[in-house]
Amino acid sequence: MALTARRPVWMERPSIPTQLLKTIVLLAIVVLMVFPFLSMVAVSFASAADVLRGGLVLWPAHPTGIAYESILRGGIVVRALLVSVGITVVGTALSMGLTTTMAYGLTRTRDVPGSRLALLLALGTLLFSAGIIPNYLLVKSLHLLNTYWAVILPGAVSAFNLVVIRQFFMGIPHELIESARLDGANDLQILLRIVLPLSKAVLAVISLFYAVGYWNDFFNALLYLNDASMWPVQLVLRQYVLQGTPLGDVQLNPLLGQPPPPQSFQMAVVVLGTLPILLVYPLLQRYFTKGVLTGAIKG
Amino acid sequence: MAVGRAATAGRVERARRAGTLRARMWRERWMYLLFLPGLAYVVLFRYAPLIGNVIAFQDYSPYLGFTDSAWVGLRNFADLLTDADVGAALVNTLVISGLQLVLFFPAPIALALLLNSLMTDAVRRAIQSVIYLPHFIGWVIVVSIWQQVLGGDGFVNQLLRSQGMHTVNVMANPDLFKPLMVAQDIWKEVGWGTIIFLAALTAIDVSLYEAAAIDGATWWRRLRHVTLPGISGVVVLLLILRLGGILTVGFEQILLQQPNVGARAGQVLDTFVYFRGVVGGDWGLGAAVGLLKGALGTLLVVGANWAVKRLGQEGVF
Amino acid sequence: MFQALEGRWPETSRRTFLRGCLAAAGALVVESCGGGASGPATSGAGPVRAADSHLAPPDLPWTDPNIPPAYFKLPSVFNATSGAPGAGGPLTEITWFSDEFSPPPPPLPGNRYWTELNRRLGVKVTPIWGPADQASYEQKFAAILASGDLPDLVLFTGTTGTAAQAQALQQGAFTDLTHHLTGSALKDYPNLALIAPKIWQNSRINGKLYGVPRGRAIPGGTLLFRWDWAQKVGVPLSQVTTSDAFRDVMVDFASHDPDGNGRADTWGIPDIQYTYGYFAEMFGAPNSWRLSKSGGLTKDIETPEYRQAIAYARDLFQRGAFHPDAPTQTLAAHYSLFEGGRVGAYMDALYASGQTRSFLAQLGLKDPIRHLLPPAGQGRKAVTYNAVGYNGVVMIPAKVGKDDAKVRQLLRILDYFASPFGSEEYIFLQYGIEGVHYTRAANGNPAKNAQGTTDIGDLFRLLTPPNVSYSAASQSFSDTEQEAWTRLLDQAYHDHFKIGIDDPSIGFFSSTALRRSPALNQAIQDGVVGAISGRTSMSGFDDMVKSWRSQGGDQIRKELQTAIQQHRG
Repeated sequence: MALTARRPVWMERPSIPTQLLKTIVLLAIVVLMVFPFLSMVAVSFASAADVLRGGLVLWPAHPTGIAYESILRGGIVVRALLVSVGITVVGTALSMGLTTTMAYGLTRTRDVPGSRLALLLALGTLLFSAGIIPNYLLVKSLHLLNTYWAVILPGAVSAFNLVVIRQFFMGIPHELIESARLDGANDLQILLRIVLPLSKAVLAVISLFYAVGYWNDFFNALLYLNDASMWPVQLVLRQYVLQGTPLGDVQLNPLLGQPPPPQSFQMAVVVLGTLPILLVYPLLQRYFTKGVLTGAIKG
Repeated sequence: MAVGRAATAGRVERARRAGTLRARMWRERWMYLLFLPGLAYVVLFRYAPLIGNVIAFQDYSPYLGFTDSAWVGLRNFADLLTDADVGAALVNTLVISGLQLVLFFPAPIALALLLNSLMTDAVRRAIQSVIYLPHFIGWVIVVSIWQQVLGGDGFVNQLLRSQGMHTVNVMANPDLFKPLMVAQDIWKEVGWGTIIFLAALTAIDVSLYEAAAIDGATWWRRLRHVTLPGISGVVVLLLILRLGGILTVGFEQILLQQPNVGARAGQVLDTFVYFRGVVGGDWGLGAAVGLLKGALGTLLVVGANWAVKRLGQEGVF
Repeated sequence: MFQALEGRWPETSRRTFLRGCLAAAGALVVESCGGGASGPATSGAGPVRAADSHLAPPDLPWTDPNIPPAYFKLPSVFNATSGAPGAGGPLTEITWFSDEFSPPPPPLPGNRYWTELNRRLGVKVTPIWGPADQASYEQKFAAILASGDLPDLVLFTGTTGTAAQAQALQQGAFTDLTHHLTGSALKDYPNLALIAPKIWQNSRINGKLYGVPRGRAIPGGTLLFRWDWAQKVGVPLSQVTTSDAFRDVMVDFASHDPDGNGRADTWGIPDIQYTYGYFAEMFGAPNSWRLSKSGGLTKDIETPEYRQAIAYARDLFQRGAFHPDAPTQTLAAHYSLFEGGRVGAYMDALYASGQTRSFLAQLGLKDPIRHLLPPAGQGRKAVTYNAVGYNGVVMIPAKVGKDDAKVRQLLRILDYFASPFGSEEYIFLQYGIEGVHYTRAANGNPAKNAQGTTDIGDLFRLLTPPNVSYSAASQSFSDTEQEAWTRLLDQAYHDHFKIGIDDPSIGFFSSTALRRSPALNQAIQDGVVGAISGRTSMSGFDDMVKSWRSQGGDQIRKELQTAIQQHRG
């Protein structure tokens, strides 16, 4: 049977009751996680009649795309989406650059004088934070107010991500590194040629964490970006939600028909704000495959 | 042959640590090149602003600034410790944190292991690509969804009512508040939390499984002797880091639902600081709480790290 | 239509309003939003009559300047200003910090509304948008303040701004504008002079005027009531004049299927936290504070009337008149349950009721609402709570205010923004350029189009003129229906104002209140909701009052009493 052929030799076939139990549990979990999202998408396409009745909406009886139409109209949101993509891409690249180099540089704190202190300093950032006003004053004194750097730099290195990557790096078998060193490679070359290729899984994960962090941030933008045309998408979308009944006069304009209720705006906002990440995630999934290290160590 | 290489490696390591300070620093110059940029960033963007925590010792006013605001020494701390509400907030925070450690922390690990044991790649990938969805839903909507299902007029209660049974309002019950917070947290974050463990699981050498199978190990023994040790590094790391943040239990989630159950059951340290420190403009108090949280967190992290090393594992530092 | 633009406030400002006016958790510095202690206009703007050229004559007798004038239709267009107000002044660019509820408007070169606005004002305007929710607004403002970069105009939200704003004011960060805005000086700003005298009075802080209030209406909240349901359950509206009758009607709403759909899916009252002020009104409790002749203050929660009101509401809850989610209801649900025809009553601002009416029209109901005056509680006389009458005050930072010419220029610009209902400037500010941002319907009413909504955003909202009673909230209503609604609303305004009482503490500063109010108000709400919903017993309410006193309430009382004493008269 095809299934048995794919099963690795070291894993026995689970019994039928176990398989059944697993299936039920996983099915339950999937349903619990997914149905709210389905409901949200449904509400985002719902018209007033569907929502005002109350209760859970799973399928709109009178679907309308007006919430999306009014959000995407005028180009503000589209522009903000591009801004967000730019910030996320640049930010993630910068963050990964700084974090992976620093993580590797701190893998041998016993050998490198002063690096233990550096590690402790980095960890300290997880425990103490400065608050809004000092950060604002810093950004202002660096003349970064109202620039995109003000949104990228404050979050560029996360000590949590740093420590996780470092942990993974330290888990790479020493023999591989040592044999490269004996062949005359310096640490930078080791990082680039050996360590990074073997760390695809953790790098994918941490890139995802950084990317999501940048993508979801709105507070830094709110604080540092006065020019609204520079606003990223989460901040702009938030305004739609805050608006209550956003288009006070839509109900007056017979051309646009029934106005969408605030809930469908809220849900459309969430769907739009989440969609790009949902598209990116499956691309990264393939890095979470088994056996990355198999065959790396021979003899 | 493996032994021979290991011996060589050992000699090389010991040789590396010999020599004067300057010699050692020069030898490791690449490492400095690698971590100094990140360190510079940390110092500039994280430590420089930390000076702002001086307002914990001031009666700070943004208009007057650091230089002109009055110094009050430890008065903010004294106010904090003698405040009638802070006790309840602290207790609630610790209880929720404890529940999170016991219930929320293991959940993604368990789910990751469950997923890992799936045979069909396609099924596993499909499940993986949906269970993280709730992570992206903001708390405002999460609460509203839970209300729609579990609220007084929610789906569950409408069902109960139509069957003539007594309704239950889970969301307005002060005694259920803390478990409810943790349950919501698990629902929202368990899928996202599996990501890091799945990545860790991929790093386990498959040949170890093969060896275990040759020794006739059952799935339970494989779990105990190969899988769990394989991810123990990540687990311990995350556990220690979580201990550092033990007084931080989620803010927006609790702020939104605290009015449902009252402050005695629902106030946590961060919402306490929110009302007094942010909306009330008592910046010094907010900073004081931040310093105390940091101090406690440091204590816990250092202690946990030491304990972990005593047990033979690698600590965080 | 015009009031609908403002009426459907987003979450925060309505929340501030409702809470403020309902003697519960209120604005930061002083709780609640009543008027000054004295009666008709004292110092400040004198009452303005329709004969003054800057207001179109209302369609119904306008007996009191503190009540919004009533219109059946848009008046014929007139000019409220002449020339560009900002021209000739020292500033060529004006920045301001205010709250933003809409998505940001497109930037300048492409935005025709913004370009035209700059041209009309004679200066370039550049808003710095503050997020509309209280906490973020507070934080952003504090950061700007700490960095020393205050813009030319700053909006103080709510009644006296956020904590950082109020504190900065006390420390001298903003200009005292009293001599610019009172007496003969006010004549230079004829549109600002139209703001009701009580509104001006309420916006004073410790007796001084620091800015221009963004006026709304003095008569405060009302209970919107489904009188068609009341008819259906056999208790006609005219009978709902006592608390017993009210109780019966509310319970019947939940048990007698007033919408006739055969399901037990209707209730009387949607929530507790946004409605309990109404009960306080029913039993004649004071508007946040009661000021005795000797100058002593009693907080509403300390009075026997208030306690009686809470006990009454508790009884109502036990009888099932409240929606099952009432203890946990969100503000959004507070509206949507009524709009969806699931509850029979809810509290809202008087001027917002027109918009609610149009929502119900979508359900096919043409005339379902009445504004129910609080029925008298047992042995008590009902009152209504006057609002502060404004949402936000626009202030000028001290650095800018040192230059008198700048102050005058800024005030002239604010005067332009305050152009009254129906004026040419008003139509531009609210609707934009004809043909581009709006078109005219058959009856001449402007209808903003998509481009208009996008381009205008919140650019006009820095300062808006006070409300009027005008009801073209939906094109689905005929002209006669519109007129009927205006009459109804105007009558409601008069009725509410007649028994309206003010909050005597408004305009007086207490530093403890500044620091402690958010937490104290939260505790008050906890205690009230807990007692009403049965989570605690009535002794839980009493405990809350005791702890309010010891946790800062007594201190606030002392400070307010002193401030009132010092600045009275």
